[in-house]
Amino acid sequence: MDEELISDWFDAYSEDIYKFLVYYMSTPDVEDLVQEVFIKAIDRYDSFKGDSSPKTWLISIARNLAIDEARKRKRQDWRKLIKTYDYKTETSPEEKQLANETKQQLHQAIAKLKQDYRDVVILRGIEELSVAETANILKWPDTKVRVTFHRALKALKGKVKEGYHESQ
Amino acid sequence: MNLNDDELQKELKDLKTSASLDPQKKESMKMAIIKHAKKKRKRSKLKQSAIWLSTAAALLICGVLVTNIINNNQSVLPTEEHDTSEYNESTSEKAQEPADNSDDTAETFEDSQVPEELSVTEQATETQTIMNEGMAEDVTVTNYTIEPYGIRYQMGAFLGNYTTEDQTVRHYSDADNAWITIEVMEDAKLNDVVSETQSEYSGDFNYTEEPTATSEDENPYQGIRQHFSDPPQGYYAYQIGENVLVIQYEYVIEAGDGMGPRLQALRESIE
Repeated sequence: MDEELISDWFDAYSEDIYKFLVYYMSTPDVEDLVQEVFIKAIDRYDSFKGDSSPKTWLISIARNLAIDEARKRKRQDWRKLIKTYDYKTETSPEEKQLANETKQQLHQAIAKLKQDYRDVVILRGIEELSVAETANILKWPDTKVRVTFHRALKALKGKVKEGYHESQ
Repeated sequence: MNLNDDELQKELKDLKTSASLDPQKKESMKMAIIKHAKKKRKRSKLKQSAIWLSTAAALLICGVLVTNIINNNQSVLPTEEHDTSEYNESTSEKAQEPADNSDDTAETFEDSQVPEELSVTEQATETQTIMNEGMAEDVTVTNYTIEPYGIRYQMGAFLGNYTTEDQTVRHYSDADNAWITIEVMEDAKLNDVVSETQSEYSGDFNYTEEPTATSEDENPYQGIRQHFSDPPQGYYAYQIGENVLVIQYEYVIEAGDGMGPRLQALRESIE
């Protein structure tokens, strides 16, 4: 893989990869993982068949790295993660606090989901990738993506409720 | 908080963070990545050159050998046909030498007994339960025997493809993104084989495990293992009588789910 191509890919997709890893690891401290994703892409470029877009290929590498990393250590940092959200200037402090609480509850609920559900919620729900792109990353058939997303939303609602009751 | 599906999906979309990479950090990351790409390209060029050179050398050696054989065969004829001719006397003497040499060569081939060629016989399959990421998973395994050593092992269907070459049997996945080789080193000592095998792993790994004794719970043979990454790879070497069995593996991380339990099942199946 030549330097020009990886440089172009980095310019085009590093922010997408960063955001995906932030959702996946529940912390904004994932810069080291972003670099690792691109280094892995260079090392494994021979296995990139070109039948998927570079973005979905890079996200699938990022996902594998994130799974490994999450096994090694828990690095969730909700407070730091919530701080990454910007609000319109006219939003009142009370509204901001309420929105932040909702976001934190959702993030915590997503982190509690089982692997398949978490994958599909992040890719389809937050990243808004298409069914085909999600299927490509997860190496699932399209129908499995649709069904699992539906089930994952149901499970997520349950987790959010649980979290809400626990916090009361 | 009580949400319906649409509200929940809207809330999920709102989770899109505005966080972005620090521009300075981003630039230094880009530099490091480009540097890695350059290094990688240089390394692969060197590797390619080495392959070309070794292929050329092999072809050259083959060429020289073939020429010698042809010359030897041709030089025998004139000595037989013209051994009475005064003119050819000296030539025939000279020609005799290579003819003798060819006898020597034949003897050398007979003397150096190559080890009996390794072959693998495939036997019955059975279902086995392995623990994959804490979940019990039923996998189909096939029993294999390495002849003439009578070493038996089991391999899962995931790595059911195999080829044998020299003293090695290589099992690999359909996508060839995971493989295991099993090699029998005849009349060898474990420590010698381990140091030789170790020298194959001189790459730039971000994780290198120290050579460690294998678990006696897995099989009764004395052995050494060592793991490296990335990509994940390593070896297990076992002293089985006078021979050493070397198992080497490598897989891409995407194919890695279940490789650990599969390798463990293989180690436990060695008899």
